[in-house]
Amino acid sequence: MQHSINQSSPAREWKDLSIAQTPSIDNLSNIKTHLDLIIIALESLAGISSEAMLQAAKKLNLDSVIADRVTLWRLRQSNPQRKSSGGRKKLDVEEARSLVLIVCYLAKQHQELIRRACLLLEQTIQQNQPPHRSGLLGDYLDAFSNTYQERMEEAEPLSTDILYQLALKLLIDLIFYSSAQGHRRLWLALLDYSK
Amino acid sequence: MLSVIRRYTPPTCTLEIKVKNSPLSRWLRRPSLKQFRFELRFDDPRKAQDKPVTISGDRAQLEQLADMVNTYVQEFLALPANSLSLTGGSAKAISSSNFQEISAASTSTPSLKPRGLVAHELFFGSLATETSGQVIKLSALQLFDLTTALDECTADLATLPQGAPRSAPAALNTSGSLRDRFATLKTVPVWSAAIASLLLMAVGIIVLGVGIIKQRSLQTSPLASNQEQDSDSKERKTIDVLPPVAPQSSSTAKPSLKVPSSLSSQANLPPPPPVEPPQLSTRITDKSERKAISVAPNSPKKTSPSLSPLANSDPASTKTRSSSPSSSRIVTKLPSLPPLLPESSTSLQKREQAPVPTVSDSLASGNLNQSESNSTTALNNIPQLAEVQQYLKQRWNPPEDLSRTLQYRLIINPNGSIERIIPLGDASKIYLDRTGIPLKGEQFVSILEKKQQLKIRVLLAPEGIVQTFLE
Repeated sequence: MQHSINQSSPAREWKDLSIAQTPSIDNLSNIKTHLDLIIIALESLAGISSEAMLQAAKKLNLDSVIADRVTLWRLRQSNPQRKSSGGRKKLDVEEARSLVLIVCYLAKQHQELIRRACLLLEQTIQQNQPPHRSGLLGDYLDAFSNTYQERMEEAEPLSTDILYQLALKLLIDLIFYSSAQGHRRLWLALLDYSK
Repeated sequence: MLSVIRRYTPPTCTLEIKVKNSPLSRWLRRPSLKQFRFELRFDDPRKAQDKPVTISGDRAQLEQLADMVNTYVQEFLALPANSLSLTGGSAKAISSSNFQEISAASTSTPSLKPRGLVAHELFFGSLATETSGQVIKLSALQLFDLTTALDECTADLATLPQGAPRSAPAALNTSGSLRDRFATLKTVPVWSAAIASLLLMAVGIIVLGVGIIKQRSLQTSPLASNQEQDSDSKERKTIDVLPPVAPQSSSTAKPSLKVPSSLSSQANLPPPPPVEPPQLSTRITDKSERKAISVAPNSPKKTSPSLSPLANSDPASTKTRSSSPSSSRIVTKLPSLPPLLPESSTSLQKREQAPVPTVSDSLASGNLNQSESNSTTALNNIPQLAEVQQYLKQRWNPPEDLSRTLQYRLIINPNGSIERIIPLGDASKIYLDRTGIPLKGEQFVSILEKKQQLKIRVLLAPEGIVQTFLE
């Protein structure tokens, strides 16, 4: 599994993430926010640490863009919805592309887990059960909610239902981002968010 | 009888590609290009069903279905979280402008509609049968699996001209990557199959003649042998770059029937070359440049990478398949279609087959560094092909971030104007306005001799090479 992932072509995937025009500064905010949320979802579900992201960056030959924890933290802090701590607010296209490739790489690695969570979600809905009652889903929803509330600046705290809704939508998104074309899909979705 | 040449098996559905296996195709050891059919079975093991819902259609319908699913998924991913309820029964309805809607059961175009966060309805449209019904409900995972199968299939088909891929059964195993399976894909346009059969007879005669010449030259002087080697080198170069039509029109085609022996030494084709991004190391750059060279006579081994075409346009797909074997039931058998290169190199060495597969490999890969004079010679038969090629060659300015060959199907009216431009593949759609292809209705080429539409396949390579072929 690792070997086959290592056979990937980061350069080719990088080239897939092209943009015809650069989004405006305001629209970039949406990209930064959505990208951060996707990463939080992946962290909450698979327990992915910064170290895992940095290792992924290295495997994908992206360590020139994201070399260390500090850089990674600053990129994450670029999400305008984050509680401000004086961190860097900019995220350029190269950095966004790198994060997209890293996220999708990690999603591919954890595709089984994401798939299992989606399956559980389908089953709980089919059985008219609340999703958070399922062990895996419950843990995911709690972790996502806690992380979101801890890191995001909100004028008013979001309700649990809204947070759960957000978490579950991101979970479904993640299964698509874990596919071979995932990086292109995420990139196009981010560009859609930027409009 | 239709033979399955490709099978994609994510957990909850199976997509098969079939082509007709005629006696000629069996003799030529490659599938006929006629009667391309796909069959899609929704065989989710979680669902108790006597017979899985199955739909089928031709290539155009498959591409239409794939395009629709791809667009739908992208729209779904861009939806805000609060657009969809969990169950689909809440008041938060989806804006109908976001998704394809069907207004009546008679709509022929397949479409998808969300029914909440984890449920979708796939309306079969013209693909519906009595047994399949008009609609099927898909869960999120079923939609994902369908998307995965269609992605992989589309990636394979997008690199091929109008025709079916040939498979390498020896490379098809449960542990093989998708890339390896397509490592020996060849492509033969429909018309070249007939030409190839005539060529086989010519090849036998030529081989005999060349053999005699060689014997004589060896008897004469060493210099003559060297010259022969040089001409062999040139022939190898010619082989790898001439399009399939070449043998008919080019006098250099005959000697080009020889096959480099180095090709036979290749057991497996390496993965497609990476493309250099701005900040990646030169190591990758060099690697991609080396692999982009299709046939330097002094480095015959390099031909192999170029023969591994963009059939697998996204190498990530191979990772997915082999990285999550538990989520894929794995794949394809295709044994009735023996591989051509490198496994079939022995037959090529016997010079019993035309070099068409080799040529079309280079063609499909788009990694040609051959001078265009050879290809132009081959196109002289149909003046419009050369006109299109020349027209686009002057205007084609590959974007820096382009890594794959763009393919378009142009339908030319008898009066020489463009009737329709069909981009094949996502990249082609994205870069259409950068290609220099004129607008629909604009006078493009000279008036056609025959009063019927002409279908031309255009390949625009990132290296700047433009190729045109009849479809």
